[in-house]
Amino acid sequence: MSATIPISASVQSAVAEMLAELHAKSGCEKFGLTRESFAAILRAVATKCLPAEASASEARSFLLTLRVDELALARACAAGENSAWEIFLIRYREKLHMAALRIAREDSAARELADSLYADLYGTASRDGQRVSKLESFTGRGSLEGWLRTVLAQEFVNRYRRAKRLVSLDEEIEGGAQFAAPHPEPEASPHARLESSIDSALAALSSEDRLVLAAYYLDGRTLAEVACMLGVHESTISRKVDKLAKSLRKEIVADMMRQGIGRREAEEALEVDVRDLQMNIRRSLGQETPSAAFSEKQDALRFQQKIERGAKS
Amino acid sequence: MQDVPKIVLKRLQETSAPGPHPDADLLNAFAEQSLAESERARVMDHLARCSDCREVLALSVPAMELVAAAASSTPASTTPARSRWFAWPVLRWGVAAAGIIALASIGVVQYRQREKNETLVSSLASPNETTAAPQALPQSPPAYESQESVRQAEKEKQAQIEKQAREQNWALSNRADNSAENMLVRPTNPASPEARAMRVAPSGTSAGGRIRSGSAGGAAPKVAPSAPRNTFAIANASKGATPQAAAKPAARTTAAQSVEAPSTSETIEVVEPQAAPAPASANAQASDQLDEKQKDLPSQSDSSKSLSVLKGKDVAAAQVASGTQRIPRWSISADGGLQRSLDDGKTWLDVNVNSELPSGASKMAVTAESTHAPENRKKKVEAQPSPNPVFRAVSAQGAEVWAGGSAAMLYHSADYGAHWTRVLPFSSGAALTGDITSVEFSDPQHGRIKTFAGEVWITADDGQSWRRQ
Repeated sequence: MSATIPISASVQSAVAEMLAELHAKSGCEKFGLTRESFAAILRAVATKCLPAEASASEARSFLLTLRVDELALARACAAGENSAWEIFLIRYREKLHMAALRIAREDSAARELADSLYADLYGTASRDGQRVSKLESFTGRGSLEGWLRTVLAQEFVNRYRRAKRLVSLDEEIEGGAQFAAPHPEPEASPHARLESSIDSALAALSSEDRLVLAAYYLDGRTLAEVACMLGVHESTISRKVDKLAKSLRKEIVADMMRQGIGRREAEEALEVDVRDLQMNIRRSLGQETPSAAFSEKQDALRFQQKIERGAKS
Repeated sequence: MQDVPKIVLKRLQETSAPGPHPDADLLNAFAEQSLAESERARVMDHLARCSDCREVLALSVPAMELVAAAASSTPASTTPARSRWFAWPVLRWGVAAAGIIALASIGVVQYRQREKNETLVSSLASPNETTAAPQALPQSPPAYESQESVRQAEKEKQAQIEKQAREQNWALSNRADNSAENMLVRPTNPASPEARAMRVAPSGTSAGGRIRSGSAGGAAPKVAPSAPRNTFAIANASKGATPQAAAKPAARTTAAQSVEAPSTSETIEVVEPQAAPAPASANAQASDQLDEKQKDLPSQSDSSKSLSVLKGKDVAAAQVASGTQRIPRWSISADGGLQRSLDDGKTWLDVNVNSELPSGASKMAVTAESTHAPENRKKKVEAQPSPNPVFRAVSAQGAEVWAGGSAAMLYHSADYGAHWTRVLPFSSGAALTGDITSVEFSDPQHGRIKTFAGEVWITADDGQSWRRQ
């Protein structure tokens, strides 16, 4: 990787300047990493993470923030160093299992998740005849433990997504999915002005505000979880959500009023249930295509009634 | 928590899908706050739009309790680091507490202010009172009261009242029978200061003039002519006219204490130094007091005559002067305290009969010459005022208030409760003893007292003499 990306002079000089200090801090000899290979890793990481125009001082401060000991361990494991793997397993086996259990919430699923991760970490996949370990992508900007948890979570979400795609047809029929209306066409909605107001109000929000709103209201995360995601206190998120909900409503109503809609009308429009907007489509679908099962039942009933009448007569 | 309209959430959900997902390294660095600002903003923007990455992030955070500890130990980078004392929850409760304290203190100040205003209002007599007939003063029975100390709070209270009154350029409120004073305070009064003093003088001498003095020790600073605040309305009335006017404050005692007022309360005293021997002859103590005055006065003023204007320290005394004032109501509280209401029973204030007494020396009613049989006369008794009298009964007839209680506590006020005297009825050498259970006065002169032991004491002369039945 480092061979393909040109390394800037500032990164070169920063690594050369700080190599001795970082090398001592990393203790890479324990993991079987040489000083040169460690320098190459540092250069690759700095080049990957820093913008091309970064100055030497920026590169230096970046290198100082790296967790070089964990970086050295991860890269030594990726290189297949047995001593590094021993240390890795001692340090992280239990933590990985606990993290998998927390994510999957079930022991067998957690074990499966962790096992698949070990395979990825060791590098079962190969590229150009070379074993590729997932640990290669660890840069040391965060903790190795956190990285492992994130990789587990990504794996879990990918599996869930795959599993969602592979729902059997029978399950879909049971769930009534075959009656699901097709995607509603983007028709000229009577609430077009409302939606444009909402979109402009949402666009005006900062990405952090949107993230908070989405995590709390859409994903159903608790305030504590959102706070953990952003690394802030729960009360900060609580205030923010409250403030955002209020200001969003105010902004949307104000925007609609600017478009010539009365305040009361705008507030009523905001309160309309989104399900009401699709109600007409569902109703019309239901009237146009009565279910086959229902008609068959009717026919069978009529047939049975005829037989009963014949028997009486 | 505020609700966001569903339609808004729907639009939020439908926002366009972002580009490539950040890898685990980037997400982890984001979660651990170790990304540069620009990179963090990029990841944040992606997270705001990508529910999968939000889920990864949410799943990857360590167990809640660990995070809680981490969050409290490392202040959030997105919020400014603030002291815990300035954290919102603390501030919120702090502000609430401060508000409550402020309200409470305002309430207390207002209450006190209102209390003062009430007493002030009652102290300001109707101007009509100043035109009352002048013949009452000589009718005052001779009496003498000494006052040794005045409480500081009372001084302040009176000083404030006097100041207010002067600001309004009011004549002294007084009773109808204090006519000499009323004449003096009328600006239109043609009498010269000398004439006024001359008019006053005989009343002081012939009738043995009631003399009131404040604290003997405290008199000196108060008589300083350089203290114009003490000149009161009377000085305004004769302003610019006289050296006597300057002498007035000299003789004046600002902290006049309550005095025995057998018939009616008096708030104004006129003292002429030359007249001093007359009261002195009547009472040895009086002569002592007057000697002090005589020593003081020449040193403070060239005037040979001076007027002493005395105002009752308790503003309620001035109530007497005001024909427009409501008659106070009297009551005994559950714990035996004497209470007075100046607003027809809306509010009740405790009355401390002892605060009106001079400390250290009790006074027992009247010792002056009486036409009644000597054996029935009320004797002067040296008795310490009870520190905490428990009252059982109270009877009020206009300005005359009688309150009786446990251990033969019988107090009398002749000025609506402004000044109190402890009375110990004597009859045929025997004194009233035991708890007083009932005090009934059919008119200011006639009353009867019942004790727990069944004794009935009767007076027909406003408590001057008693007869036991």
